[in-house]
Amino acid sequence: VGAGLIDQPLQQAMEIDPAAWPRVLAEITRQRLAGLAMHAVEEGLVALTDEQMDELLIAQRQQMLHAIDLERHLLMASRTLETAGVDAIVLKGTALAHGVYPDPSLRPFGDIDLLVRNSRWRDALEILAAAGFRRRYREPRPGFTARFGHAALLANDRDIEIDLHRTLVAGPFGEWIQADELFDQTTAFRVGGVDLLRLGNTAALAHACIHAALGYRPPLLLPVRDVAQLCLSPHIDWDLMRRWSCDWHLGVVFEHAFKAVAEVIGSPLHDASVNDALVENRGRRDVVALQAYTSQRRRYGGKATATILAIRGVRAKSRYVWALLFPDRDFLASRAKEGSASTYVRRWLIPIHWLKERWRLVLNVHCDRQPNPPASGDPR
Amino acid sequence: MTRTTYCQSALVLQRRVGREVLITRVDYGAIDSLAGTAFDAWSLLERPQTSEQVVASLAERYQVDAERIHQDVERLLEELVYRQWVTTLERA
Repeated sequence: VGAGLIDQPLQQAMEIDPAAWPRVLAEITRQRLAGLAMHAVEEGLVALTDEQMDELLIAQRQQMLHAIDLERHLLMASRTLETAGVDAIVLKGTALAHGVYPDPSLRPFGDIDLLVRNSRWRDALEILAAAGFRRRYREPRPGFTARFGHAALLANDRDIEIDLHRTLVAGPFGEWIQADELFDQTTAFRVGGVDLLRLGNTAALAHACIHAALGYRPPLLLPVRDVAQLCLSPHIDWDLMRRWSCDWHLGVVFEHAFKAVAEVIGSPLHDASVNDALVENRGRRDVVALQAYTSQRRRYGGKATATILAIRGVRAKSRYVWALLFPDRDFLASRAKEGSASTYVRRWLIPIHWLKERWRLVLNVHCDRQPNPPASGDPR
Repeated sequence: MTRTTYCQSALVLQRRVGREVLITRVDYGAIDSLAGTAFDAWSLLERPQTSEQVVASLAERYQVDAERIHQDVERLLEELVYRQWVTTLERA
């Protein structure tokens, strides 16, 4: 994951046990690391047998074929939006591959991510629908995503996916981030002779931290590498990062992402004082919000409950809760498991199940803290 | 007297996979692939090159007589221009 990132003293190249190789290759493929693995081989950090090398090349070829195909659709989609007067910022994959990594072949991606201004998000949906990109999932109630969601996943008949964002992440942090401000933090990059917009390095670092810390549990390795790659890129405005730490409550997110980088790369990428400055204003609410993504609570409605706390105004909170408890019938039907009926009662059982499981978690923590656990029996 | 130089088109979308490059562009329905010596020639065309310069570089790399590969390189460049992967520039 750190290949080509920091100068490492070249010791003996790592060899991979043939018996372990199928699992290693499967993980490389799942985590989209074939490009970085190839780089590690070319740098002499990893030594592969001819057979392993052939299989790695096949994996990377697959990822690159998909990436290049996605880029073709990105250019068409961005041209369509531009013609209609909608500004779009390219996020994550393509933007990082071309704007941040030294070679786009190192950074594969599985979909197209575009951020549009809140005020034009619905327009963008319609424009892209006319271009063949339809919403993949229903929303609980009309207008739910435009107010409380972070993005709509669109797909065309070839299964090319566009994540059309109105903010950077779902949940409480999505409520706190003022995504429209990011349009003042952009820079141009060129793909296939076309100028596109991406987030500048500081905003891209903030987004990479969000993706690495809040996206998956445990964090995927490629987003962690993105954070490291951006940390070492020029023009990071740490004062701006501090402002977002405070105004958008992101300090705990940055800290969590930088910890993940230090664990994966094996050393911190910057001085501890940088981290300290980012979290100096963190509050209890920020920590609770982070735990909604990074702890067991994530599985039991942590994000939904933390979102309720983050939404401003009682009316808006009520709208959110109402939409989740009383979604329209089509949404219920789309969520029903095969062979089972879609009823409101089943829907309402979900938060009851969450509460039960979270209560069990609380009890577990409580029992784990007991200095002298019972001699026999399972307290859980 | 004018000399023709060749350079990768700015419209190309490309990815390198080992010693192979995958190429396409927005209005092209397929994805082409250049491997082996064609990949080497393609890499040279990152900067404008005359056909003689490409021939000389490849001849040196593969330790072969430039005359022997001259025709093959010319044919490859023609093909790349035809497919619009490469653009040409006439220089005095």
